[in-house]
Amino acid sequence: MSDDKTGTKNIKDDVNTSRRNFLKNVGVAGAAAVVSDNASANVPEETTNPDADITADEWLQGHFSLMSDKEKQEAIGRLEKRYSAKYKKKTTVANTPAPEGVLFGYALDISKCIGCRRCVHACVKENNQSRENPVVQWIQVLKIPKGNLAFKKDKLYDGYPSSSAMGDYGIQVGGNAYEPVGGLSTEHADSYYSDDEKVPDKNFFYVPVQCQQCEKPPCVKACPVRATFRDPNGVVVIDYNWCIGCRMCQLACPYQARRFNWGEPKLSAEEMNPKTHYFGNRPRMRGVMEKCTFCLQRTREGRNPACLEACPVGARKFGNLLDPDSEVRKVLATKKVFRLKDEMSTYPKFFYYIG
Amino acid sequence: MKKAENSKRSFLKKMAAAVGFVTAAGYLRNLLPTRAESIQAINENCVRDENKQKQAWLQKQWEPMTDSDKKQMLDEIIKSHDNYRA
Repeated sequence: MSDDKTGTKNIKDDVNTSRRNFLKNVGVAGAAAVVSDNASANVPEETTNPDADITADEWLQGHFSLMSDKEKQEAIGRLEKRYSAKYKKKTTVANTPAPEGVLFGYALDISKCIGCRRCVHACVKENNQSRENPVVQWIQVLKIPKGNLAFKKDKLYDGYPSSSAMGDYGIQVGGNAYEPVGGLSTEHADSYYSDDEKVPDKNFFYVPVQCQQCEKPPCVKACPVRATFRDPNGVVVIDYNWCIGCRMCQLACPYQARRFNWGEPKLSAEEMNPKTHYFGNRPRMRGVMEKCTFCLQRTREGRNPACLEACPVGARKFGNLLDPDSEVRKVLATKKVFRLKDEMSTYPKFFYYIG
Repeated sequence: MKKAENSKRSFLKKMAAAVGFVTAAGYLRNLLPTRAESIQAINENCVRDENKQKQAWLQKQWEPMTDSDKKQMLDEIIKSHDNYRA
């Protein structure tokens, strides 16, 4: 009897041990699967250099703006090491502070723009955007029929008042009656024309659109973790390492100017711009938001944004809104200026004008 | 002995149930919209985002600002900027 008991106990122990071992193995396998999944999602496939890996320190770092100087230096050091290993070239991540007494503003002359999209390509190149699968571009160029723009001179004396089904109220018909009053309509606009297309088409005009750098940005209000915020120069920036990828900012932006990294950005080592800024053009990772920063890595050093430098017709003007002698202020003072969706009271600092 | 067999049987039962559950969860995961994994899905998501921007710009009418509009706007922007700095 006692032998039986001992036997049963042994078998039970065996079963327990085997179950424990089994569960242990399952646990280890599960953990390995999770780790390998995360690793494959976040580490570039083409490199075997361990320095190219995102370290635990990087995962656990706080909001950049709240870090001490020492922590900032460490965070930047980690990034520089990782980017240099990943792209196999010396990469710098600057932390140039915002210059004092500057509020950046941008103006674009839609009568000059020829729709060549050199600004788009210069932006992609400068800001390390994903080149393929997915293609990420911060500037979109809209192609809008010329008929949408204001009154036509030749139709000025056409048209006449007429009665309507509502009564004889002298409603204007013909002539300019069906054109937008004194403005510009984006109806029938298209942004997907081929790069090979001959521009400018005389029947269209072109409107490049990008982040409007609102003075009262709804995206900043929507961010639940304050990863996106307005910098002292009025530029809305993102701490990519603090962004949780919830896309609330994208939803809040009335201009849909933000881009989400649905996949790991594809940026080759040859095309990577190694001169970066923490809040600007440093390579992003999957699952974070990105957008135009007025080329913060350049403008904080007193240079112009890449899109402005690339424009062959000088349609783009950039400057300090606090300086009455700046080009942007002169445009505001002397030209016919448009703002997009001004009814939203976001106070964009990106202006369109007719020169 | 019988108890041990029972225990083994119940363990196997539980294991079978667990395997069934994991399989079902895996199958359902494929049916539900989830994190974009394939390049095609990623590209489609990106294009959809860009289309949203296009839509945001469509059928909008811009009107030129008057001088008083411009003054009000500039005053408001600079006032807001000063508030940020304060």
